[in-house]
Amino acid sequence: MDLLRRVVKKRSESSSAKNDVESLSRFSSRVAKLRGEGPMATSIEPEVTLEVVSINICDIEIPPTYLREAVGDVSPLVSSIKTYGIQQPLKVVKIRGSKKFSLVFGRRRLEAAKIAGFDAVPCIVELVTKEDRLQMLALAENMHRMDVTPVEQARAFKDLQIRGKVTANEIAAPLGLSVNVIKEITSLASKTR
Amino acid sequence: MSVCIEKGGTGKSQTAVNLSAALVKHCKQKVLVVDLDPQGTSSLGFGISPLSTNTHAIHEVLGGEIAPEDAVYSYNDTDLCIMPSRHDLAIYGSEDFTEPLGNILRPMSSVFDFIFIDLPPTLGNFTTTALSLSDAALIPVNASSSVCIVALISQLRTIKTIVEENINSNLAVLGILACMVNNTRICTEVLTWMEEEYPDLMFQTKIRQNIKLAESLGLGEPIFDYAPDSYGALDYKSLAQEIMGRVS
Repeated sequence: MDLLRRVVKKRSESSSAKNDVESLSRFSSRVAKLRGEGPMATSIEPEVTLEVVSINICDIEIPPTYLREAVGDVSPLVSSIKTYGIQQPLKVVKIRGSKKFSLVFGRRRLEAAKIAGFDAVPCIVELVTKEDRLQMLALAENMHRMDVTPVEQARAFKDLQIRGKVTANEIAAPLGLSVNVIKEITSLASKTR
Repeated sequence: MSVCIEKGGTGKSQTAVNLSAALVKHCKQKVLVVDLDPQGTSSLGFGISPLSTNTHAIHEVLGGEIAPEDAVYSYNDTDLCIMPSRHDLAIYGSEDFTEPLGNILRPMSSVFDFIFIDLPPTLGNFTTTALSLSDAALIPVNASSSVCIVALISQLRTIKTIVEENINSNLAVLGILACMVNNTRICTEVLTWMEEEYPDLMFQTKIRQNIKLAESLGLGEPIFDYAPDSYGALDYKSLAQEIMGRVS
């Protein structure tokens, strides 16, 4: 018991006490922001947002690193969502220190929803906030569609390799592509610039 | 390695059981889990009831009644072993047992690659004794709780005191593990706060809230046997790999 007494006595005299109090108060002010926010018993918004939530279009920002430069012709999509609504939720991530969200993928659906006159779109809020991981998610979502241009792919791969410090190997595996294909596409980026 | 936080229900036993199972299964390590919580939750996680007297338990070893190896049980004949506890261990909560515990652990450390000590959720004699003998501490935090971080701050201060007082200058924090991660607002705030306050200590792997983890602990099977395709299994596998990277 001497050990416990010694530890308890010394830790109460610890020099970190002041830091701990400050650290805790930074947490308290974070939590205080939640007051009055969020789902109440009368709200249709689910508490655990692993489910799809409705987010106002004006609260969704498109990050400068977004994969697609070209949105293309969204008019068929507009008529589809006017008729059937948006079938697949978009993915967004909360922007720190703000009430807004940043788009991870779903830009065409977002543009089409704007044109169709929607106020809000169905979204899943992604927990991961690491930039390179988000770019990988966006790639995984978009790669298997035919409409990402090779130049867009090249730019994204190159960006991941330079800024995200991700190797061609690490890009290839989750996308189900060979390393050579990744390298080939990446080499396009230097040719086009 | 002590698995500790001065609060209950944050994922200590869940982590002791499933991280050790992952290290054995996916990283080919030899691992011993020493249950130093009289509640015996991690013993239960390996299918050994803390209410049963069919198996030997750590308090018998500490009391000198049996040899340490007689209280080491292999899980399904693998390199994953458990030294279980029973409620009888509670008497050591008010007794100095640093020396007998050290005498048990030292020879074991040449047999096993990792020894995890699962601890009770309080600042008490079990926690200080285990920390005084550990090389590292792993702190699981319930990321969907708004009060758990008080326990985190407190736990880190205990560890700092033990190091600064030279009770155990080798003790290091291996990492803070966010458990029960979900998409609630409170969880986002807890994660962001922890990443800002302890950027070097957070494990990149987060353990997502997963009902299979809760089910498996009570049923006495590590997640890799109970639900090998669950998020819980995936997350603990990633954690094992991240830890191998940190310790090598």
